[in-house]
Amino acid sequence: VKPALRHWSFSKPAAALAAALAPLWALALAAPAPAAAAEAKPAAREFQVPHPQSRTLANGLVVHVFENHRLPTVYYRLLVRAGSANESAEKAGLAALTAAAMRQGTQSLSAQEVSEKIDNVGGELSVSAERDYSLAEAQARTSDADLALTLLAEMVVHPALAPAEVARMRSQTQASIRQSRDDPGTVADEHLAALIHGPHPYARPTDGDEQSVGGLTVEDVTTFHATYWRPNNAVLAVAGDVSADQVFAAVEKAFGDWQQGEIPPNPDVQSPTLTASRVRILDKPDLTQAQIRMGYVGLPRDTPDYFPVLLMNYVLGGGGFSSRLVAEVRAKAGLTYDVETSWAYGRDPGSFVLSTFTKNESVKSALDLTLGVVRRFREEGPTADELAHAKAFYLGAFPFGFETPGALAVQWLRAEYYGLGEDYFDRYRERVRAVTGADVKRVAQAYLRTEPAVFVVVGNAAEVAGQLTSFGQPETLAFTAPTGAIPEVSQTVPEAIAPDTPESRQQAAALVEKAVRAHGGLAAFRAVRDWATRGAVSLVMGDQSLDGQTAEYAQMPGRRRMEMTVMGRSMVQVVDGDRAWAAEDGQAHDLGRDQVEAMRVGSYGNIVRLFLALSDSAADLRYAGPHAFAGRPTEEVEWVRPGGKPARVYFDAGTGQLVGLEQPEVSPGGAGWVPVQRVFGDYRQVSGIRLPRKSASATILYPYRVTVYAGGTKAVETTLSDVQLNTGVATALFRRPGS
Amino acid sequence: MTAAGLASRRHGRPARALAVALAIAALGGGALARAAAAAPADLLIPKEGRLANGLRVLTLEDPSAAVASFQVWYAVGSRNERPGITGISHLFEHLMFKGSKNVGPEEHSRIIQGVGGVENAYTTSDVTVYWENVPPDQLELCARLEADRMSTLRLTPENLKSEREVVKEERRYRTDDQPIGRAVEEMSALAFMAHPYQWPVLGWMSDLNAITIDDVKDYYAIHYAPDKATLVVCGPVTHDAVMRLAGQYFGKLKPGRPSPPVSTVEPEQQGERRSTVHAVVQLPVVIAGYKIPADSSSDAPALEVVSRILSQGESSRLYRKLVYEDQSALFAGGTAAPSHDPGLFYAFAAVKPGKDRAQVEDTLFAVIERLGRDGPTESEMAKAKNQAESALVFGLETVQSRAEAVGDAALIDGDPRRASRQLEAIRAVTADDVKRVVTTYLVPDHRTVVWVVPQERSGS
Repeated sequence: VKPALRHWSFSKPAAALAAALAPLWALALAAPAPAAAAEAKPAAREFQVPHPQSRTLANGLVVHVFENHRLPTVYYRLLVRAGSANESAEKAGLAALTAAAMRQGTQSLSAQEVSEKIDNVGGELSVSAERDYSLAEAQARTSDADLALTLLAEMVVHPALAPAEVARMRSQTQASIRQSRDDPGTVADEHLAALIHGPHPYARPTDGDEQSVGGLTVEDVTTFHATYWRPNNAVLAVAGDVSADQVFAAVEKAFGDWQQGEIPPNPDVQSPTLTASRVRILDKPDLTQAQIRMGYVGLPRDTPDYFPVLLMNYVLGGGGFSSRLVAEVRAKAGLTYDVETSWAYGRDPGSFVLSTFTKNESVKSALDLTLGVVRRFREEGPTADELAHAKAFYLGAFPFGFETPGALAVQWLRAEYYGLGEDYFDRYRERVRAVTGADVKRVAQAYLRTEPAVFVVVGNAAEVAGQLTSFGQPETLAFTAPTGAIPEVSQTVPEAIAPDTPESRQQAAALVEKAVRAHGGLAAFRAVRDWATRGAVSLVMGDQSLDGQTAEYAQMPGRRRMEMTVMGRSMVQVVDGDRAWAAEDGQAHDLGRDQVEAMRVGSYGNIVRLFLALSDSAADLRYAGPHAFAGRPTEEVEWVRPGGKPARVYFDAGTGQLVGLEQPEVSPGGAGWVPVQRVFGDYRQVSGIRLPRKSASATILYPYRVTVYAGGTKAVETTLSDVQLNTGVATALFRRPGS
Repeated sequence: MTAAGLASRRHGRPARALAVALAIAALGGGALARAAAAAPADLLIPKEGRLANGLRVLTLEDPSAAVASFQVWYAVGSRNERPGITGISHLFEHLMFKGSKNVGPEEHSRIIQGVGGVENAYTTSDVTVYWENVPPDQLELCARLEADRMSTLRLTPENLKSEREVVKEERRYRTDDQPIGRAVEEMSALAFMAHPYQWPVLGWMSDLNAITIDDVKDYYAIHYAPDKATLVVCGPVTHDAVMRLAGQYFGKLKPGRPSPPVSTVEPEQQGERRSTVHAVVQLPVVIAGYKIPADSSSDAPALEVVSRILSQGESSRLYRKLVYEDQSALFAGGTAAPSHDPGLFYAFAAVKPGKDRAQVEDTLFAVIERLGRDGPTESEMAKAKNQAESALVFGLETVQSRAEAVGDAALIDGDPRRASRQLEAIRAVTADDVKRVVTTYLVPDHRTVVWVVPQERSGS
């Protein structure tokens, strides 16, 4: 608890006023000043945001100093231009883990020594990561200003990042993520972000998820720190009871040996465009109240429409009791304790989010009422009164965002980070005043909508699912399920190139027919009812590989169970038609639609399913010519699938046997949709099939070895020891435990 | 600031990710946040005045402030309730926004926001507080609005009906669907057999359903009157100006009916009490509540030192042992929750996955016991005092926290000047005092232990 800040440090722009003011001090915005009344009169003495004295050190570190001698306190705030948005999907949580580990000891002081020193003077020292940036902070009474600065610099420039401390913070973060499942609002927010942002890093919680955090190494942390925590990527603001000249000298001494580095560009990924609404329910049967979210991709912080949107949002759902939503849904209907809309801005487009909660039985009525208010506002725009009121609020509340020197420092850093201009706070009120009703109406029509949108409800699925069908076909997951944000194809997958001609189609069909014959004939494949395979699996991670066991059980047409045990951890993934679940070490959870789709596509890596699909008369196959694949001469067939990228199948130029398959799949490493290549080999005859009419038995030539390359790198190799066909795989294997 | 720490804000939503840690932090937030008083402590000495009708006025003149805080503190909280109408203090707080003679429903908030102000209210077991933070030239507006709803509130069956539902949603949100919220409720119910601290500030659901318009009107007639209220103002304003405003707007109001005294005294606890809450919860959490004296007691400063030694910072004893060394807890702490009547000191820990619950509990209690047996080190005493002083200074940064420190002192401790003397009192605490209060109060016989554990699953 930071006493001085406790009333203003809302970590979520949630409650009525907190939301309205979030622009002021939580996000990078700033705010306005005098009130309606004050506006009428000439503003007697308008509050001005002080500008800092600034200097740039030789190593590129920009330093701002705000002198303020009201109280004997000093605040240091250092912003580094990298946060969770700079992580790859498989390293989700890295910026946050780096921040946490930095606090745990320096090259000259142990973690406990650092804590002792700052605690002894009643100061505070912390590091944290946000989506777009990270912050290192220290504060103390003026008498301890030097100590706080020294500790801050040591922590930032020379953190120990010792393996034991990284491990401690990793376990701490994982436990904290686990516990956050107890808060239904958090669960709702995370799934909403995942569905809104898809492949974009904003889809992922800053802390990562338990699994991604578990995979982060000391090397990852060291590399992230060495890459991004550089003076030419940072700005330091010092505010409080200090003299600028002394601060510049002290900072030079403390940070002078910090070395510049080359900063990689930010990842270039887009949030997806929704074509239809998505509805996801997270089932938590013990809840008496449902947490409801609706949202979609929003705006970047530097949007020129920032001020009209600010005022629009206040009138609609950001202004507490002054907002239409609170007036209708809470005050008149009594359906909730809180309903609000907010715009999360980032350096990339953030999101628009509508959130509320209500007892299970009134989910539909609350949503209908809420969305009706949004639609009406979009049509009407604000009344003159509403707009005047919103302006008066932001003008009058302006000084509150700068009440403490620490708040001023952070506001300044954020405005600078988002490139809002040095005169941003000077011109803030004038920009608020300049917004017209027509501006607000224009942005309402441009940016507000109720479909297509993402809807997320955390609640008792049995009680709420039926209330949501009018918004879209709901998918239901367990509340502990991963958000399942799967990045889109992250590397270029070529579009179909083979000629779409009758000749091309005939040649492709002939190649498939030849291959099927070479592997045992179509009748044999059609007679396969189930299979069970066992073998060894080797997972390649960087330059090492992890060995374990794997097994697959499948029933035609739609059931499949994959098992894997590696390093004492067991994992199971099951698809059953359009539903899927997974379990790790016995803990089962449902998988979302995206994962089901990913697993469906992956199932073509099995020769039985692949050949049956290719032999379907409706399959769109085209001959792409001879092509060397896996070092062998092959014939290439393109398989064009509706709504998807084409798959490429390679057959041996001589024998006609299947050599390889290439298609976009979700990478085992978590990097999302990438081109995946499978190379099949070690073919052996497998018997056990009785052909229905001929009362004869048949065999299939089955690949005992499959090597998988993801994004061009070897990822998995499976070497089977045993393949059994039609032995009667038990249906119980596909049933989810606990259901 | 409240026995169970259940300050219930009308429209503040607790920070999300940390719902649990936050609920816990709220238990002791008062103790740590209110902190000490020291050299700059003089800034917490209010100028005092009183109107003929009993309204007390406390002003903290701060010419350097760019904004002002206007607060009305009513000496009523859930401790003034009785079975059958539990939660009425908090429900009433909501009704105060539903309009009065000259102000329409929810207009109060809209008017304040319309001058660039922010406002809210909260209810604890001891007090109900209404506050407005506004540009300094809008203090008169605050006085006019607060006086209007103190005297002419529109209490109608319709308002009660819709606001009752809002409060029930608030209860579901804060308690029913939050495992830690349920545990804290269980703690108070078990720790207090006789005293009103036994029921939640939010009230029992059945009482929320049962409260009538007559109950509400009665409550208004007794508790919402100048003789039960304290006006606390902090900002660039003089005490004389505040007194003039108070006289102009509140001066004509009549005192209320006498408030029935809260006379029940909690009998001494004779042995440990235990309870288990089964919930769908990811990590087991243990909360222990020890009986401690009222915040006005001379032992309160020593208990604050104990809180800091156990909990404040990563070098504190509980963090170092349970979180850092053993790595068995996600978080752990021990902190007093200051209250008007004898209340509780909370110790708590969340058990990390795969760690032994019993061992975490044993360690939690052993750390406390060791502090009583061996006493604090010299450097721990110095550290706690520095932390108290620092907390005081940083607490002076905002007009709202200054006003709150004085309001708390006036209503919880019964002496508005206590805020400015707190640091001095903490500086006077000795290592022996720390040993003595730990061995006197933080003992197993005076302890109530509540565990929140994951519900047993049916099937595999």
